[in-house]
Amino acid sequence: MSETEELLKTIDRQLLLKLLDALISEQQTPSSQSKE
Amino acid sequence: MKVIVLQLARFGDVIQTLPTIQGLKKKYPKSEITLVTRATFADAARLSPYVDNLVELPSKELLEPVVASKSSEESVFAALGSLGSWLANSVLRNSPYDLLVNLTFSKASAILSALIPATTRKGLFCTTSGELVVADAWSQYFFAQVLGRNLNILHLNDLFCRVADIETDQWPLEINEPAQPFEVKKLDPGRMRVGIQVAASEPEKTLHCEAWSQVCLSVLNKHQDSELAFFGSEKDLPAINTVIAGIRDALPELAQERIHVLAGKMRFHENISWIRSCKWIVSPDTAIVHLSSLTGAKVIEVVVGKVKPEETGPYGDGHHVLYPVTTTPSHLGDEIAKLMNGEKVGNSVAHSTTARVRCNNGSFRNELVAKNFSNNEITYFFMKSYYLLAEFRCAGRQEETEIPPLADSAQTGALDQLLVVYDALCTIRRLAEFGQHYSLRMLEEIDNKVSLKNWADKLQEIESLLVTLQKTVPIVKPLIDTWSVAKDIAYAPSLEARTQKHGSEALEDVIALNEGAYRELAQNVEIIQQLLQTAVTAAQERIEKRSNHGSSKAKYKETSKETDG
Repeated sequence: MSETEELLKTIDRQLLLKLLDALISEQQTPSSQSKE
Repeated sequence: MKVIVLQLARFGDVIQTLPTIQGLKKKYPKSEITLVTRATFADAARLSPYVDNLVELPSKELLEPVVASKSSEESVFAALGSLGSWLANSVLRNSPYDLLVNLTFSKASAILSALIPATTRKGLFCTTSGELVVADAWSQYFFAQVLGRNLNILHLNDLFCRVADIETDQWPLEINEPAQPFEVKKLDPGRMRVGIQVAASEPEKTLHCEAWSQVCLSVLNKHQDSELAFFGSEKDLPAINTVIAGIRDALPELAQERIHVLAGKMRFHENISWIRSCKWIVSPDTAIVHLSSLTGAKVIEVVVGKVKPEETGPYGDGHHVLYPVTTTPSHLGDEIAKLMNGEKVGNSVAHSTTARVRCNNGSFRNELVAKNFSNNEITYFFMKSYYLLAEFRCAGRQEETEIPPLADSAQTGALDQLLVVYDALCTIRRLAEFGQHYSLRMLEEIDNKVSLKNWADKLQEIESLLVTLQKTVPIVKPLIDTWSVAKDIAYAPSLEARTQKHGSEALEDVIALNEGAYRELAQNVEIIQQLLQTAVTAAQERIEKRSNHGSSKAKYKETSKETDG
């Protein structure tokens, strides 16, 4: 098994999905944080 | 030592992260520093010689297919795979990190932070169940005050350094010299170059094109030796061309070499060489202001719309901030041209300058100094008081910043308004003490469901009253928002474990967190009340002196009249 595959196994899939969701919603308005 | 810094916001935020990076390297000289930014804004990070690994999140590339396909199952699955591979190859390969500093206060950054193994974590993160957590005191301050759009005197450069617990005594910063794809045109002797940034992130944060033409015309007319360089990206070109067309309409004979259009010709960080060739940079609140501040180039920021120059304005000594609230564009241009001559700005345009001051505790703070107007003394008093409270709360240090005096004779009625605020503070303190008391009763009667419900209802009432109070007396909102953050998202040592716990043990943790938040609220209000009392007593003495002086003047006049008669 490659190092990447080993590392991939350590990632929490639920959190990764949440990250994707959050990135999608923030991509629509990538505003500066001080103005959020 | 391995350090990772997350900054997923835009160009300006990335630049404002660079002082923290430099400070971290100075504090931990042997550290290896990784900076994660969105690929679109990574160029700003290339300016720092202290970023050892720049990791670019290809968010656009990753997400565009998902957005285009309206989140089809196939596209989400593919994006998830790519995101996982990016995380593993670019970030986790180097983990665990000794220190993770998240300087972005967004949900995505909180989740990313949670996915990266690190010993010490600063800034926003989340639990495995997605619950947001702000662990350190300065990040709580950021969350409550900056995101809450409250009174905040700290510039983001300074606030980010405080979050990371470092000082950056060097300013301007050390920066890498980028390539020059568009060579800087040498200035003829006696010429002055002025950089102009027309576009802002949102149209309501800049002047309209016609107004910019007027401003530019004033500069060109008043300074016959001047030439203008227009900064920006390719998408700003239509606006820039409109501004230039307006200039040429009024000055058809204007020499070609007095106008340079740089927009779209360079990558963001490559603008730095041209910025250095400018004597002045005139801009609304944009990343060009931050880029110019980095080099020490003098900025004239034109404040338009809902921006806060205290937080995101020019940084360092000797920059200028203008508030063109009621003036005409040509008058604003005249005032800018006067400023460039070293003349005073007229009273029709409010004018502040910047100064980077060393606090008595060793840290730094960018300060805006009003030049031709008086700050609203109530707002200014609370702004400084909340800052003192934050230094005390977050860093455990007492600052010696002078509390601004109240009772300026020109600001009548201020003391009466303060009485209303004082009453509100008394009410908050009482409510906080009740909240603390009810929370303690809940802990005592944790096994009695009826009592618990009763105390919980009372706490609910207190919460509603606090929310109402911050709406009726908005100047106390920073205190309520601080309490709200402490109650809802502050870190409690048991918070991670709480999600694993069941029954009364988990409930006890929540109630204890609540009790702590109410206790802190009462203490914070007490500190502000003490500052207010000191300031009001001094103000009353000043008023008394003034009225004595006034009556003795009147007496003198009466006596003089009698003598004359």
